[in-house]
Amino acid sequence: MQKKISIAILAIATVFLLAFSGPVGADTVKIGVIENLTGSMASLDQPSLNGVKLALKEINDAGGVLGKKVEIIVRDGKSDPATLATVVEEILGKGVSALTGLSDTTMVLAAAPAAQRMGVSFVSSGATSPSLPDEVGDCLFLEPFGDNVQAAAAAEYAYNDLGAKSVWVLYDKAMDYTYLLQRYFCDRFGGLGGAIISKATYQTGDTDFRAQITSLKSKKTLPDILFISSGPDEIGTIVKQVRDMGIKIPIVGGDGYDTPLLAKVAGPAAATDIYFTTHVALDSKGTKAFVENYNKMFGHPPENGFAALGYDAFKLIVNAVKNANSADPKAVKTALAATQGFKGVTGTINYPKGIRVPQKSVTIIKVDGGKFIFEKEVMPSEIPAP
Amino acid sequence: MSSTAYFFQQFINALSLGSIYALVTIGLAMVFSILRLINFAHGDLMMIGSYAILMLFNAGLPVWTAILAGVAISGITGIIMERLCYRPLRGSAEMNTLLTSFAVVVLLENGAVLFFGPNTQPFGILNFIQPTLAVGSLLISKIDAITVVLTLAILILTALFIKKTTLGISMRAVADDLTASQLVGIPLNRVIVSAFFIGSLFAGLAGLLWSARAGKIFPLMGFIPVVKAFVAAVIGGFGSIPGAVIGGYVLGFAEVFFVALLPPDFQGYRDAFVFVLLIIILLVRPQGILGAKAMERRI
Amino acid sequence: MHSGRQAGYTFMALGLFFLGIYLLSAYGNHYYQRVGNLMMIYVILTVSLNLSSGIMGISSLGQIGFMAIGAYVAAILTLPPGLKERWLTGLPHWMHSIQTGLLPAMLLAGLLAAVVAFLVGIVILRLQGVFAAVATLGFLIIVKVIAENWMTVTRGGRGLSALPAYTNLWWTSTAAVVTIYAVWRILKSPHGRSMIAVREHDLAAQSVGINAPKIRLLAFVISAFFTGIAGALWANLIGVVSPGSFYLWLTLLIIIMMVVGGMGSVTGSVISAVGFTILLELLRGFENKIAMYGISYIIFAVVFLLMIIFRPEGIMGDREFSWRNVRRIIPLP
Repeated sequence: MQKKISIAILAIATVFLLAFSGPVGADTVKIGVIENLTGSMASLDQPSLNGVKLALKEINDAGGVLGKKVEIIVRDGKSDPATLATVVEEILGKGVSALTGLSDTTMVLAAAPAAQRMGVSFVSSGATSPSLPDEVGDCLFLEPFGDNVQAAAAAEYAYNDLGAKSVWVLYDKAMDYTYLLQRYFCDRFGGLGGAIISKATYQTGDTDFRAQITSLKSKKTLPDILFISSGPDEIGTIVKQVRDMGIKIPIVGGDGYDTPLLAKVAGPAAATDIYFTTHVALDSKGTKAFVENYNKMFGHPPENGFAALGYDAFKLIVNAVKNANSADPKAVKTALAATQGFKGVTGTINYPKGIRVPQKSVTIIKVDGGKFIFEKEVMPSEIPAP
Repeated sequence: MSSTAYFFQQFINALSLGSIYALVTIGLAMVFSILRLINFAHGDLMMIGSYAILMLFNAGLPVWTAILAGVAISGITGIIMERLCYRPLRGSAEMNTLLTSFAVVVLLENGAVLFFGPNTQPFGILNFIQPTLAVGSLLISKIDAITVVLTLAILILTALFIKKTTLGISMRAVADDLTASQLVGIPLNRVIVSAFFIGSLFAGLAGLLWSARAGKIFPLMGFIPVVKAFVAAVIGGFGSIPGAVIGGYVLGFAEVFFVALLPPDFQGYRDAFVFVLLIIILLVRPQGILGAKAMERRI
Repeated sequence: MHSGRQAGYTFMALGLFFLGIYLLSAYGNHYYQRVGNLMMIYVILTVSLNLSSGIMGISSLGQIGFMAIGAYVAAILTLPPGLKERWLTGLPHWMHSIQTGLLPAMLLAGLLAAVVAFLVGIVILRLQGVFAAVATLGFLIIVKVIAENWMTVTRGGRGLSALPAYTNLWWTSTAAVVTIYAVWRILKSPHGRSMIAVREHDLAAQSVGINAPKIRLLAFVISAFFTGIAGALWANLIGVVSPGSFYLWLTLLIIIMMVVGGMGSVTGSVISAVGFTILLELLRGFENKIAMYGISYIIFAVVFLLMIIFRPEGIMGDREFSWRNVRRIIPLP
């Protein structure tokens, strides 16, 4: 047995030696990418990393930036705040120009403060809480619009276009995103004069929503619409079960719906009469190339909206490096804050002076028979305060 | 919807949820009764079974063949797990085997993330079954009906197996007194391997039903059901197979009616309520609802 | 060996240790400092878990629940008043204007964790073995559910952020040394002997007059106190606390560190917590190189499985470090 153990130790040691003897990076522009590639957040962050990889390939194929190749330093945060806070220091120690990644507010809050202390910008690719930049500081930028913007757009669309006067709300209590989205929605919908009949909750990871749905069915007057605030992993199951229980009421939601899983899990018959707000219609002209290239590189279409967000966040940083004509973190930060008219897959990004949440229009998509159909692009007339 | 209809609808929801819990719990209880091992990796057998079914189906196998083969793979994985991880530890402290099962969970779940990718995948291979049956104003999903009927059939078969067959009687004997049963020459390894195999088959089947219900699978899908099954096992009296079934149903009903009857602000406390219930049962009636004798000495 | 000389060695070792801490905080990069901080927190967690689980023999899967309580207490105390008023409307009014430093936050965190451990212990410690494990796991889940749902005090699943980064290497290393010393003293005291006696055979221990339920409760409460302190340090190190942070992964990590170190050995816990922190960082580096994310945890699990199969008593068993043994190998003056 002794012998076996020593062989095992030898084998492990060899693997380590091989692993650590990689080539040392040449003169490149380094950008840190921090994502949760394992654990509960992996299904959101892995597509985001894929988006980054696609952007990286395109940029380097076109000759890089400032005459140098761009290099990414990827670290897995394991969906664990302590690991995130550690790996972010590791990335920062390697002299990156800026950081991007992560799809959840709590995770960004664990990783970004270290970047803030070092004066390195962090572009949150997927977290959409509009108060995030204020909670972290002047180095934190949102790539997507804030939840208040998309929720207000959804509320105005539901009230004005769908003619809804009452809503039943179901939301995931364990996620910041789903909580905020329904709160802003209710703010705006109530402000327009709509009635919130009642709310029900569930937790990320639940697979059975029938008790909540049945209690909706028992209401004396049924609402005009259902606002279901859910992440991409649960929405398909919820829609499936809502329709299975014979409820045909229109369903409204946010960018968590922007995943092929919605139609695939729920089935085309159930995935109908659904409206959601998102960044961009993936079948529109500007995004066709993105979807095709993604498909070519990874063998499947983007898993959810986070792929396009990761892609854009990365290109946004490289754009800032180009505008700054420098890879120095401070110059990149200044250039990022001055971003105007950056055209990405998920819309055009402008940062108004002193505001690090982009003013982007919201796309409304209708789901009919499992097909995503572009409805309209809107800018809400009134946005709830973050 | 009248309040009676509402009650019955929730009753049906609870019945089908309870059936799946019962199916998962039987396997957990079978292994526990013999080895005193709480196998937390039991839930990951559900995951492996479901992934196997989906992959075989995508590889072109007919649905039913894929299902049979996938469930069999789950069973075989259970045997491998016993041989590699639990047999070397036989006879060591309960706490060590419990921790081992946690390590197996880490191993399998991270392995699944590596091999299958972390993303949720649609699981629609049973979608050809008509979604719902309308009975008056009630809606019964056919998957639910199948779940309940299948579970009941399996329960009856298991009961017969345990009562009538030599292997089943050996299992009971080992569960009752390990040393004495070895004295009379019961082949211990065969009994243990059979328990793992049968339990894992049930887990694979429960995985199929669970995934069909949710319409999706993902690498970490096994954890919530196994924790629930664990509670169900305690409620029923750990190690008792009829108890496991009753525990599964009690838990299904408790969960559904907790959400159904309480205001939304309290719905989030569902799992806390379930575990308070569990601790109370452990303290007041540690042998569970059906357990005949105290399983553990108390001070 | 003369006990005065032993004390001298110990002080010299401590001096060297704090010199190392000084060098690391003055000249080390942020990454090493971060790993060092986490290492010290893991040492506190593992050593204090060893008191209740290893030395006392309580099968607890709920230890991290006490860490969560400590972390939330510290987070609420150290949160800037403006945010407190905006986010935590469920707190009594007078608390809104209070913002404490790290030391009071740590002590109150430990204290509250201990009070909860006392109340929970009265109920749960009547159970033993796997059943205690089940019940304590239940406790952990209940803590998480409360943290997720008590919106006006914990801010729910969103967690509390923007906590001041008070924690540094001096705090964590001092707290670790104090914890090790306290648990060591308890182990060598008559109480410690009683704990081992109860663990080995509680009826025999009771027959010689040891109050077994009381001594179990004592170990459980003290262990929770230090765990709560570790939670406070963690909160002000990471800067954000959320319900999911204190859950099964951390539970498993700490238990594995304790078991591999040797249940009942303080020395073993320290060695193992330090060793595993380094091992996990090395493994992470390795998985980054080969871009197979998740392999580090797989190797970690395999290491644990091999350990528990081939050396179930852990690295140290229940033996302890002593200068006498060191002297047998290295000739000390």
